[in-house]
Amino acid sequence: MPLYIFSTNGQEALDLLKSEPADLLITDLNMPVMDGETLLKWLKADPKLSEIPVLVITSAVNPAKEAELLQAGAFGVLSKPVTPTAMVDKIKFLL
Amino acid sequence: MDEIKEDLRLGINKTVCDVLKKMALMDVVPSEAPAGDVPDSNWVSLAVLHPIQGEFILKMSTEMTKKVTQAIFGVPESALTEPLLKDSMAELLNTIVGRLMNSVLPEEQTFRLGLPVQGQGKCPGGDNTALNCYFLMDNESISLIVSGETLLQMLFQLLNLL
Repeated sequence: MPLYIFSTNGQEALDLLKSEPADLLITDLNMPVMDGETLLKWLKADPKLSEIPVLVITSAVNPAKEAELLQAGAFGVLSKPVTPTAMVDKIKFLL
Repeated sequence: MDEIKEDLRLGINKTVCDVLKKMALMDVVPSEAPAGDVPDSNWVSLAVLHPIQGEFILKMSTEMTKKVTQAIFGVPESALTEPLLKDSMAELLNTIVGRLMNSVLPEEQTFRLGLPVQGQGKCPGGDNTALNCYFLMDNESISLIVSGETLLQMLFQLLNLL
C-alpha cells in the first residue's frame, strides 16, 4: 500500500525527505518558502537524496523550461492541468 | 488602447474557457459585464514577474468557488475547507495564466509568475487601463482582470503574431 506524504512548500518537503527518503517526489514549481527548482537543486546536491526521481508539475512550463528542469535533474515534467491518466502513466514510467 | 483591449479579450477568452471547462468541468462562455458587482466575492491575484510585469485577478462568488473546488478535487460539500477553497482558486488562476503565457510566448522564452495572493470582497488592482473579461459559468458571472499596460501590449502583440 503506497504511503503519501504531503508538504506545503519546498523547505518542508526537503526536511521530510531528509528524515525519510521517498521513492518518488512530485512537486510544483511555484511555492512559498522554497520553490520547486531550488528543492530540485538541493536534492541533487545531497548524495542520500539525489537518486529520488522528481516529477515536476507546473503551469509555467514550455520547451525551454522543460529542458532546464530536465537538465537540473528532474525525471519528468507535466504541464497543468494534468489528467489522472497522464499522471499515472508518467509515474509508472518513472517507477 | 481600447482597440488593443478588444482584440486581446478575444484571445484571452478562448484560453480561459478552455482551462475552466477542463478543470471545473462546467460550461463556460464569455459574457458581457454583469449588472452589478459579484457579491461576497472571492478573489485571487497572480503577478507576472518575467519577462514583463503585470497582474491577473480572478474573481467569483463563494458559492461558485465551492462548486469549482468540488469539481477539481472530487469532494463532497462537507469536505470543503477554507484552505481547499483557496487552493482551488489559486490553481485555477495559475493554470489560466500559465496556459496563456505558454500560448503567446516563443518556445525558447521562459516566464516567471509570483505566488497567488487571495482575499474576499473588493479586490485591489484593476485600474482604468486594466482589461476586464467576464464569463458565465453555471449561469453565474465570474471575472478575470488583466492589468499592466506593458503586459497588455505584449499579449496583444504576441497574440496578433499567432
